[in-house]
Amino acid sequence: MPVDDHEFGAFFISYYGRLYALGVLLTGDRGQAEELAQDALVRTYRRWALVGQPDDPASFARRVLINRHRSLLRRGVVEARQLLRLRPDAQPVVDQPEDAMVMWTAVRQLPSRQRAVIVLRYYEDLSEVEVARLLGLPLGTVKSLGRRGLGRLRQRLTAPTTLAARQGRRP
Amino acid sequence: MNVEEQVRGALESVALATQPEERGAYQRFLRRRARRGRIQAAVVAVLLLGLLAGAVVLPGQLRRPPVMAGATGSPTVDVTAFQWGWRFAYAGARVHANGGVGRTPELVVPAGQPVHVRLHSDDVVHSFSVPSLRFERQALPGRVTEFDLTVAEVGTYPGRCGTYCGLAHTEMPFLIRAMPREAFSRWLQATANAAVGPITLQGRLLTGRSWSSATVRGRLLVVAVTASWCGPCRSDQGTLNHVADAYQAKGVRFLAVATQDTRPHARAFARTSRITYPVLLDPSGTIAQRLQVTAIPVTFVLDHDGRIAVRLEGQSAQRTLSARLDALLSGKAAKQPP
Repeated sequence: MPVDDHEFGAFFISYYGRLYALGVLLTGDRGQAEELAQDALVRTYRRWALVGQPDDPASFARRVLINRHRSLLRRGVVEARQLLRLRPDAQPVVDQPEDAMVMWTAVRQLPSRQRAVIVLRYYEDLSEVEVARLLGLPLGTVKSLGRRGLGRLRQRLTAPTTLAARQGRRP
Repeated sequence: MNVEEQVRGALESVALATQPEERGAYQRFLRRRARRGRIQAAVVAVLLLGLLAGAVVLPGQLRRPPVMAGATGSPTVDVTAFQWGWRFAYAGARVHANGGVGRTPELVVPAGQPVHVRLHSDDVVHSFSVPSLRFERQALPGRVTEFDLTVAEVGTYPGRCGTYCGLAHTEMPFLIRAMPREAFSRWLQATANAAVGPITLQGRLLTGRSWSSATVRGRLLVVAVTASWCGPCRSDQGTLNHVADAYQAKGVRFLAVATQDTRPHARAFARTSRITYPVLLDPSGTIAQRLQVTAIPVTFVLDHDGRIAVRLEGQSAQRTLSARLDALLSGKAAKQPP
């Protein structure tokens, strides 16, 4: 089935940024985010070419990206990512409010599955049921991962070792 | 502000701040897509080439029949199925066994030794089926099915046609007789000797005179086994008469054998079919049996010594008769395949 390149190009332009952002939030790494987003869109394109345009291309591509991310996790790419996460962030986060910066640092330090749940719940605004389906986890697991993730973030924000706390102590 | 709201806000602002460089992203996408397409094409090509190679190489290996026959002392037998009976011919030994409706032919084999079988069909699809050996192969017209058959134990094994082949399908029994190896060799030798030896046909002619083929020894003798009750023989007689007209002048003798026939019927048949040569009466069918005839018409050519040189079965076979006679007359009496 031929794909209208204009149509797909338009979809690409409109959605690539959002997929990329989701990739950054899930992995904390621009390179991996680009990889995930590109890969998801290539796969979406194939599906488009083989069986026609998905009902909702955006959520189709998002699902592909999350699945890719999951299988990378399963293949132990996590380890590599842990190392990356300890590296000072290369991205210039110029106009970030400090709170956001602190929060982001805390999110990046969450275990992968907790982080995935947090990102999908609060960035993609998905319901717990939806998240469970996308991640292939039982609903109960998703709920507890979310609870523990939030708990850990709350702890970080109030702990004196946070960036905010340290900066706050500066004269 | 609760934690959820803070998280939401933080993620949102990070996402906003980390927009990718849009420029070039689509180009990278296109390159990636093309690369993926090439990889897929390569994988498919490798798979197809593998299948193709297998399709070229493997059937040749499968079809190669095991080399038997002759060298290892295993006999080769041509088994021919026809409507309705079997013909077993031992290659190189000029030994036949013929079956037909009302008569069960025997396939004699050495026990414990493979017999190479070439299975033919004269007309429709039949099956060489031996239930007690759990063995069955189809006989297909226009195609030779080769296999090695090994009967382990001495004994007799009834066989039959295993594929419905017409009205008398159930009347196609045969028997496999497995005998010890030495006994088989002796049997084959004895039967072959008997088959290639001179044959003398004698009896009473239609005219009432007694006749013996010994009187025509030294000449080619065409023996047409026929009968007044045999429809195909009637329609065939015209061809035969033509050949007789042409070759009697060249010194070839002709004889009709009216088998299992009565004198009045045979006489009428000879008259209406314009048979110009002697007709030998064979009321009991013993002459036909001697010639191992099971279905008529059959035409034989006995050579100068009285041995069977040519055996032509069935109607259409008559048409090749003159060619065979020419060959025999010119002395290049090619040994006829059984």
